[in-house]
Amino acid sequence: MSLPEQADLAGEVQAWCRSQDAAGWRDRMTASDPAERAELQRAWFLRLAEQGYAFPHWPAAWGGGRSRADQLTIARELIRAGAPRLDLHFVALYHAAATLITAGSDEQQAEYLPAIRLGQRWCQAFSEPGAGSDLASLRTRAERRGDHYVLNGHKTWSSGATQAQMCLLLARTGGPGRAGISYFLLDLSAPGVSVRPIRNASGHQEFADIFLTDVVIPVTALVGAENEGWRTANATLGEERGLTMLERSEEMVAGLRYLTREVAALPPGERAAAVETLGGYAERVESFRLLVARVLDASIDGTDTAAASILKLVYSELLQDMSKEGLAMAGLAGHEGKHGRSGAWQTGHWFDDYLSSWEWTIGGGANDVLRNVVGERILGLPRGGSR
Amino acid sequence: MTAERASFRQVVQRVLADSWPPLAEYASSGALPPNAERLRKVSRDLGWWDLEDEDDGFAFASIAIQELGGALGPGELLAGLCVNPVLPADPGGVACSWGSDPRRDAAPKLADGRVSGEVSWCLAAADDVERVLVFAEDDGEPVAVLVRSQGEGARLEEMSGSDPTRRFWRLVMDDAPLDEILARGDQATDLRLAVERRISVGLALDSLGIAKSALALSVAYAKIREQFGAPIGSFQAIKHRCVDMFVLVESADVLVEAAVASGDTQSGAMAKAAGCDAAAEVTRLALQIHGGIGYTWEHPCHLLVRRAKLNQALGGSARSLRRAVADGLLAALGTDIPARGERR
Repeated sequence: MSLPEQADLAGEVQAWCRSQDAAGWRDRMTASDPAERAELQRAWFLRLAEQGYAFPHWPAAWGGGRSRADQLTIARELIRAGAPRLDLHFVALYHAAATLITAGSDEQQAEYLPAIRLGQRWCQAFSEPGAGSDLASLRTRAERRGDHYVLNGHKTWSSGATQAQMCLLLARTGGPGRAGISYFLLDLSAPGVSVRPIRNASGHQEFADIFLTDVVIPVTALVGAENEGWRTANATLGEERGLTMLERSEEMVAGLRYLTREVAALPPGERAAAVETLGGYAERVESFRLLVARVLDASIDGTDTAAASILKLVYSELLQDMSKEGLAMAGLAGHEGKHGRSGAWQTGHWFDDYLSSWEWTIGGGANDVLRNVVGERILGLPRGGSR
Repeated sequence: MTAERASFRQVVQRVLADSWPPLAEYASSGALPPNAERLRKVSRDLGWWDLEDEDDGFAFASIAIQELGGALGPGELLAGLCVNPVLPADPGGVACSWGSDPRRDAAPKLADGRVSGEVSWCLAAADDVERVLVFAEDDGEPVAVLVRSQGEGARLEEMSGSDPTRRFWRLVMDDAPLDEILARGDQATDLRLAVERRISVGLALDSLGIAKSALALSVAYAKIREQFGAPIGSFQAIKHRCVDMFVLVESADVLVEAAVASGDTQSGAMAKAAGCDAAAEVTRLALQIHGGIGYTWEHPCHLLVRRAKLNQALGGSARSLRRAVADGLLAALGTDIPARGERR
């Protein structure tokens, strides 16, 4: 990372961010309503794309082709410059693109990759009301009728679905279990698709239900072979390879600063114990940052590290613990006021931060289930019978 | 570089397999701690005492220290690899204190070239120690001196304690003539800080080794021990504990690695607090996972617990180290302090 060419690239990204007033874009997005925010984010995305910073991880033939070291430098400098997050384009740039590139047909790639570069947004429709942690029990059906499939079912917890045009969909084409699941590309404007936002516990509408009623899609919307969808989904879910956690770890440093301010403001009698607590969180934040760096460094060498499997566990529980602590220190001040969606998880508005932390302990696979996965895949412990 | 380190780790593991009892037989291998003569000789022949160099610094020694911790290795090797390299004297046979009790221990006094007072928790094999590094006060001025441990006015008393895997000694000095003054004033303070940092990182490495061994023992046992007709590792109560142990080990591992690579006080403090606390918690869970068999003298679980718990108490306490880290953060905050009741 200390190579001269990385320093040059870092300087280039920093200069560009200054010339574009990256942090100003973020502030405007934070202050706007969801529809405005989506438009601003698309405009920012197009600027990034033009500069070559939006999809450096794509193959060169599709406009990427940067080394992993370059990708990380670009991501790190954008975060440090306070550039807005591309959360609404994230599924398109990572999961959809990886799916298209590794498993999509030539026609699918030619249709969708250029569209994504022009700002087409995607979401993911995997979970269902009856299939959360146990995703392989999903019941949405895709029935083959001639050169079409007919979809019926109910998808839920789909992030960004209200702002998306396309959707990655898992549906059942065969028998029960993983072996009966296929992977589809669904146009959300197709007749019979109904997207309804879900208001989450924090009061924000980031998720949505997607209802599918006799939705007719062409067979060309199938990715890969029928009933091979589980494998494709697993192969592409980890595509961002720690980049999300890079952003979260930089944000944690801001969170630690908020906690430090909270300790500084405590009356002398309460301060001694709080100082020790603060030192403990400094340690955990530093450890998390170093874990992220280890995973990202390994990804430059193309190697895997066991630490990758626990990043979400470590982050989400640190986030929950630290915001709980901040809330306790802040007392009533931590509850006062009504706050907007900032697009970040470390805002110093302690109650909001605390409640939002469940988005990470549950989202992306509940931590309780993730512990089973790590125990079995990384530690090699035997599978239990009750799943 | 990475490959060299990996192969050195294998060398250390082979030497330990050859010259040190395996964990499974450790407790029943005779008197504790096990006889380290052969291991000392092999390690000297292999040049483990000169592992530090300008290019790699502490990196190779740190591998040996961690592996020794995981094998409940002899304490004198830990001391020799860790502290001696920062001493400005011929390190042969110098021991120093790895802990002190601030409620009881006053700094020894130096007057007219003679030292009086006590230094406890000196980590060493007795027959190896000729001199002890003592941080004393000379009319209020800090001094670092070497004192002959078995000479006139000085004696070493073996300390009994909770951890039988290492031997600790108390040096009692009553007008003991000093052997050599290593440093005075600010230089003595700097030397003390350098030694304390080495002790922090050394204990963190030792504890990390302990934690990794405790995790490996637990996972291996959870795979083969059957109850209720299934290996206990298939039960979520056990599996989740093992994952929590793995998270603790990984989280401490990166901090310890960073502390070995850098020389600053903060990274050493974080490594000591996280590494020693992780080992204490991981060994606690290991004993619980092993059930009844883990609570027998022959099983190594209690030895891992003993060493991990003593490591927490040696060196700086997690409490004081975390306070020091937090004080740094608060000082860096400057005037950016919210007024009480400030609206956000």
